[in-house]
Amino acid sequence: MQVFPSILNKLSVFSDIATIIGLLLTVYIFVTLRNIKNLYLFKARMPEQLEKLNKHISDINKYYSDFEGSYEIIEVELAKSEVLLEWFRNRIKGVSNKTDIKNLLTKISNIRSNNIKGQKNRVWEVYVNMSKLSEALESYRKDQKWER
Amino acid sequence: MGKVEPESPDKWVDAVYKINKLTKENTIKWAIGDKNKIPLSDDEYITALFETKYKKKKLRLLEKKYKQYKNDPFSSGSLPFLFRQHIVRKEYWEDSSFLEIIDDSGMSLWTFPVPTRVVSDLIESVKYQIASPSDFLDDLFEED
Repeated sequence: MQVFPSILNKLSVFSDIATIIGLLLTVYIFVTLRNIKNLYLFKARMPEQLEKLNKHISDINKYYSDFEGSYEIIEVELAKSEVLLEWFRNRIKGVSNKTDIKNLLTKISNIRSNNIKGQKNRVWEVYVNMSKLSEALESYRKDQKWER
Repeated sequence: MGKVEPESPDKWVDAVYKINKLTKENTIKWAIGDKNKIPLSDDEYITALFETKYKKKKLRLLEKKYKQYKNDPFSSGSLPFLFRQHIVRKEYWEDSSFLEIIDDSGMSLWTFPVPTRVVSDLIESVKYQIASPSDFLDDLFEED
C-alpha cells in the first residue's frame, strides 16, 4: 500500500524538474526571438541608414572644395553623421567595428567642440576615416545576408 | 631576398584620397577629356571624362552609365513554362566610375581597384575645380 504515495512523490519531483526546464526553455525562446527580431529590424534598416551616411560623406567632400565658404554646412553634415554613427555603434557586432566607430565619434566630437574653421586637415581626416568605415559597413551588411 | 608583401587594398584607396586632396588644393589640375576616344557599346554612354598628368603619369577619370536588365517580379519560376517567353525584362541604368592610368594614345593601362563611391567623390572635386562656381559667385557679386 505504501507503493502508491512513493510513486506520487517521485512524480511530484519529476513535475517540478519539468516545470523548471519549461521555464528555462521559455526564457531561452524569448531571448532568441528578441534577438531574431532585432537582427531583422537591423537588416531591414541598415541599407537605408548606410545610404544616408554615404550621402553625408559625399556632401562633406563636396563642400570641402570651398571649405572657407562652407564650414558651417560641413559642421551640420558632421552632426548628422554623428547621429547615424551612434545608431550603427549601438547595433553592430564586433569589437573592431565598434572601436572604429567610437574613435571616429571622438574625432568628430573634438572638431565640433572647437571652432571648425581652423580644423581643415582634421575634417579631411574624418572624411577619409568615415569613407573607409562606410566600406567596412557595406561588407558587414553583405555578411549579414547570410546570417539567420 | 626580402619578402614580397602583397599590396594592401587600402593603399589604392589612400592613393585616390590623396589625389582628391591634391585636386582640391589645385596641385593637380584636370582638363575635360575627348569622349570620342572612348569606345562604347550601344548600351552605355559617358557622363564625365577628365584627364591630367601628374608625376609623369597620365590619369583619366571616367564616369559612365550602362544599361542593365532585370526580370519583373511576376516572372521566372513562378510562371508556367509556356508563359516564360513573355517575361518582361525591365531595363535600368547603372553608374560606374573609374580612375585609370593611360598611355599617350589614351589606352587604359591600369584601373585603380577602388570602390565606385571613392572615385565618384574625386569626380565631384574635379567638376568643382573645372566649373569653379565660387569664382563665378565672386565675379557676380563684384559687379554690384
